[in-house]
Amino acid sequence: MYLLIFALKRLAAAIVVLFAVSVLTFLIFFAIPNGNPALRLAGRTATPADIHNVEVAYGFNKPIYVQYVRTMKQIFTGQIQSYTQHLSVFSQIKRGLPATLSVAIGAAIVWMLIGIALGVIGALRAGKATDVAVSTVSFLGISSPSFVVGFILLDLFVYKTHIFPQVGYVPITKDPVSWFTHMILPWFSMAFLYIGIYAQVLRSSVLDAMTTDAVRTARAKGLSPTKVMIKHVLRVSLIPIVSLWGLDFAGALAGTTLVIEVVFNLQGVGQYAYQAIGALDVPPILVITILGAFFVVLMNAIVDILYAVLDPRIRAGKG
Amino acid sequence: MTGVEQMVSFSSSEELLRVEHLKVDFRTEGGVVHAVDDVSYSLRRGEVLAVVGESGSGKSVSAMTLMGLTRARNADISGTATLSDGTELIAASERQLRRIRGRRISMIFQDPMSALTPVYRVGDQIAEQIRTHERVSRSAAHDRAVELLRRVGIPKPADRARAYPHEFSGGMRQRVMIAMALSCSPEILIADEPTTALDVTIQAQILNEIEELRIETGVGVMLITHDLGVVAEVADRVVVMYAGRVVEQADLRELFKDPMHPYTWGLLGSIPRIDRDRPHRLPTIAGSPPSLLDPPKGCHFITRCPHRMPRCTNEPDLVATSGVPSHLDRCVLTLEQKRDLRIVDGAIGLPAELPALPTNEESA
Repeated sequence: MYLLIFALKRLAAAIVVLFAVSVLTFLIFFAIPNGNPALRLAGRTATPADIHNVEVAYGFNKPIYVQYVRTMKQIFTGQIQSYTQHLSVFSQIKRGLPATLSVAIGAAIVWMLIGIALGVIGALRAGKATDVAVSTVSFLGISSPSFVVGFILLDLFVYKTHIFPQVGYVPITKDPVSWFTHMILPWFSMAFLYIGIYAQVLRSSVLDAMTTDAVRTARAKGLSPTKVMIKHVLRVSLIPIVSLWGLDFAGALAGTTLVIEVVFNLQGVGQYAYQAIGALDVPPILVITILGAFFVVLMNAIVDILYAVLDPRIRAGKG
Repeated sequence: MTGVEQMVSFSSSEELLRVEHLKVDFRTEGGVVHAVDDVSYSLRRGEVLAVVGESGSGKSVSAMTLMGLTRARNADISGTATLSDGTELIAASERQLRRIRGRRISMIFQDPMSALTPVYRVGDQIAEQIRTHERVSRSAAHDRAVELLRRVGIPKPADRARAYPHEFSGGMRQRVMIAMALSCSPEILIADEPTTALDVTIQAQILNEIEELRIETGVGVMLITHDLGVVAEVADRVVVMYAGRVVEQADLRELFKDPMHPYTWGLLGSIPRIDRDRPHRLPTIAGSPPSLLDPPKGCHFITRCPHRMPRCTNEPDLVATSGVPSHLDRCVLTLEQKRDLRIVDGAIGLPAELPALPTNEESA
């Protein structure tokens, strides 16, 4: 019962968010100068009469809300096509999705693992040189934009030393090893920022947890330091990290991948969006934005459920 | 059979623990904190030894040090603490100590609300301790945990073992802590302010619980408290600590009937009494404890003692002055002076007015 109400509330919120996002995205293209899609649809050599014909054919001369409803109808029936290439937006997205998911999921795993490792090391060595080194790396990561990191890594490991292959995406189904070697640099470029954040967040929450009464009890029970650390410190201090991870993953998938895909020419959904933005091609941008927003809302709900699973104190099912 | 229920079958004077010349210093940015300064006491089988003192008197630090829980890079620890089989705790390796913690010496803490890890069921937390020290199956450990919960008076123990700490009241949580502490039948139970965070009625229940366990299992209890009411109820012997030192040590009766140290008089005098007219102000001990960064020369109580005199700037020894060999105190007054000075308004206490601090010129 509780879960049902929770799910319904979430669904309602999701619908509101998605509606708002779609309206805003749609309106932006009417607000920017030279945003008229008929200009691009009619082609480079079009006469004003051609442009007018296109406007009439596509309904661009109708009021905005009519256009909005029409576009949304096309989206929800899956019919929508891009203005520039006249290709189905959904099939284009489907084509780019493996690359995008490869980058985002891989990077999320990399930053989670390395962030946790560095955070724990920093906490265990608090105040010592190792801790200072971890903090330095963390703040370097936090203050480096991912495209800068990407270009530096490209320059060092691809152009200068040839340690890693040329940019581009190799499907995992075709050649898993090649897929992996092509993915390492994008993963680290994307993960560096989050590694810094996670290491610092975990370091401080581990330090807090280590001084709690519960951890003193665990030590007084005769548990080994490793067991105390894993079962009684990390198990508690990872709870906020896990929820942060869910949200950051959604944000990264819906945002940062765009930059990384462009830098490493991965031909994913992000790069598709990037090209569409350059061409002021509304349909792909609209669809990708809505999908991104939907994913963020979905991850939010998952994080909330996960939170309740991980922390019995906020499980409300009782009584 | 949990082993908890074995009966007492030994001489009651058997020593479980002997602490000698324990010193704990912490190096801090502000200087060296002398948290425990040459403390000695012993704990016998089946007895409740109360360690009494204000916050910062070193009573908790000395107990935590026995468990190795104060070991840190900035801590200097010396002295000895020897168990009945000759194991010495202060020099013991961390590995040796882990075999002792939770198995031979258990500890319960002041705040039961935060002393358990919030994300595990209490039965699992008890079973975890059992399985740390004994090779038993998961289900056997769980059954023992349930039995222990029943033993400490938790209703429906099989159900409650599956509950999380936040689903218990403070008193019930402290019972869980006691059950956990007893899970490996320890020789020594260190209870650090076990009732301070609880309601008065619950306090009495928890004290009864400890009392019964002591009788049944012969566990030696070191009860750390600032509450003389608690001491009067359950203690057999009392160690009074002040600013890192033991200032008086005696059997319960001796301490309450014939207290020898002015600090003890002050403690006894500050207990509100219902059988006398209420004073217009509750009696207190004037001033506050000295900084352990820079304790006064000589007697540590000198800054607050109304009976101080020039001789007090020399450190007094802890000696038997009342004629009872087990009754030790650290005060230079003569026995007659003590028995005379401790009476304030017909009862034991400290006068409110403080004479001028003796200077070095005076003592020279």
